[in-house]
Amino acid sequence: MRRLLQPHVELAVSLAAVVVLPIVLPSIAMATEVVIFIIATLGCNLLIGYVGLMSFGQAIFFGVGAYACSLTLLHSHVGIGAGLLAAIAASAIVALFVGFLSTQKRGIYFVMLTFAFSQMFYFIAYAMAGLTGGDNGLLDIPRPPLVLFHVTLLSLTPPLEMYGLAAVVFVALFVFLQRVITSPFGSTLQAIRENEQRAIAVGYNTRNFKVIAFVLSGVVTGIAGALYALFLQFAPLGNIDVSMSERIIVMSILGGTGSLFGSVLGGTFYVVAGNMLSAIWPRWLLLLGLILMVVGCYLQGGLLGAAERLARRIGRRGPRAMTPAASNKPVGRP
Amino acid sequence: MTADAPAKLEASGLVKHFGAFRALKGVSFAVRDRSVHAFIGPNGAGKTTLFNCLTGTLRPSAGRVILSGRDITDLPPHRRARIGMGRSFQVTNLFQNLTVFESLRLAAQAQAGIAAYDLVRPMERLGQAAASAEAVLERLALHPYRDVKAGELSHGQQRILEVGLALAGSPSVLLLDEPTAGMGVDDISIMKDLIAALGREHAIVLIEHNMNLVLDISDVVTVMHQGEILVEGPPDLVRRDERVKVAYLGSEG
Repeated sequence: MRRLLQPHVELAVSLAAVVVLPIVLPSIAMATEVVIFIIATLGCNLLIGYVGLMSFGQAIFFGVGAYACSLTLLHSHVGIGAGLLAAIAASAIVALFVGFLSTQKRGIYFVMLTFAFSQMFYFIAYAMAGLTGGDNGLLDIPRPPLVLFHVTLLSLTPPLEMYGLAAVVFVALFVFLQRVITSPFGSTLQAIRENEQRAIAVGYNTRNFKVIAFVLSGVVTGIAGALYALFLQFAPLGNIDVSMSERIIVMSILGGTGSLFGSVLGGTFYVVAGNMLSAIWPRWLLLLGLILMVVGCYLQGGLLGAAERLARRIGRRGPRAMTPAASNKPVGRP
Repeated sequence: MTADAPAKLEASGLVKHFGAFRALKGVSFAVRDRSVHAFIGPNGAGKTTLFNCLTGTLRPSAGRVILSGRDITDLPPHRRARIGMGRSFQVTNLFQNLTVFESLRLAAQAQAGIAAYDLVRPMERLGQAAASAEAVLERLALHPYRDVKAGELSHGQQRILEVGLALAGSPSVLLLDEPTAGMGVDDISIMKDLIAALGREHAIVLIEHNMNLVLDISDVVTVMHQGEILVEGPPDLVRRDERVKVAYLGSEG
């Protein structure tokens, strides 16, 4: 299938979205939440879209990232960078552990293992109330200014500065993941998604690739969790609940897997629709269920797939209506 | 093709039990470099079990497998592929949604070792993999289909690509599992010429039901029957052997 947007166009559109979101959305807080969940969805998309692994464990890394960053800032006077680094380290270690054990199995047994780990980490967080605050979560998390070499880059007190931090992290991760998927490593992940048995037969140790992808995905999701804790200045137990995994998976599939830009669409749609619909009707998740059914039955490929189909239909009618990207020759994306 | 060419792949005393059933009862042979060594036999003779033991999909109950002088009996399949063993599958087993070129490039890239784990630099940097893929495209005359998805090729082309994926890693030994399975007559002659040509550069293990093809292009034919080697020798010898006729007529006729 031809790709609607080439990588550099995807990046440009994502940058534009980052600028536009806080202007068009009702609040900067909503824009911040959107960007944070886009990051979490990017991590999930790497696994579903590029390796073909459906993980119900994403909440583990979201929660661990949030706790690690929060605890670092609560119990020491190091900067916000140290909090983010703690989140990266903790989510990487936990993802290595979960990934190493889960990837021993394939198919539904892999899914079940990630589900089981998600339950396990939830109860660990619940039981270790002394550390995590248990049911109450961690409260009053400080949000120190972003300082680099004694220069305060962002005070992070105005909402727009917190948004700026999340947005910069998002763009950096987007660029990083774009590089990952076009690297030798990323191309191997796609071979594994297509046919793992064949990937083994040509000489790949597919288990190693899957574990590394799992760790990358966990770290990206953990960073999202850390930003969420900084944004709310609160780390609720719900971060590590399996329903958070579901939410992240739903955003990924809604937006469309197989392209990073799908995550931008899915994360934005879910958070914005959720905020707006819940204001009108507390049972809005019922509507979300309907939307998911439509995606499952008629819009496989998610919002991105629908946009691509629409662009092709317009493109067939008249070449002038075609977007410049769609008229270019297909890129090497399988 | 000479009798004293060195053995690239050896099996000694291969035994494989599945519970009480003995699928292989001590099979030994040596595949010489630059030769086509075919294994034939009625269904249930143990050819597929033997193939799986050679590729590492199955671990033999007893016996050794030696590749270029190295004992590989305990190596998993991906490690065997990294030290010069290429294999094709009986049932076409491709990267359906990847293009022909990308499939071959990935198969070649597997040989890059640690460089295949490079996370941040573009895949084009591994020029060796792309060059190997181009060479295989050219050799198999698949270049008109370079940017076609594997799943969209005709069956005959898919069978050729199946061999191509085995070839892309520049193996010294090629194991081909019924490469002509399901092919039309015209395609079979292309495949036959291809295997014969590859046999001049590689050691080839060929499992094949097409008897005419086997007798035409093989240097050595091993006839298997009930988990054992019944007859082994050049095609002419096998063609005349009474025991072979009995084994085939007795079990299938």
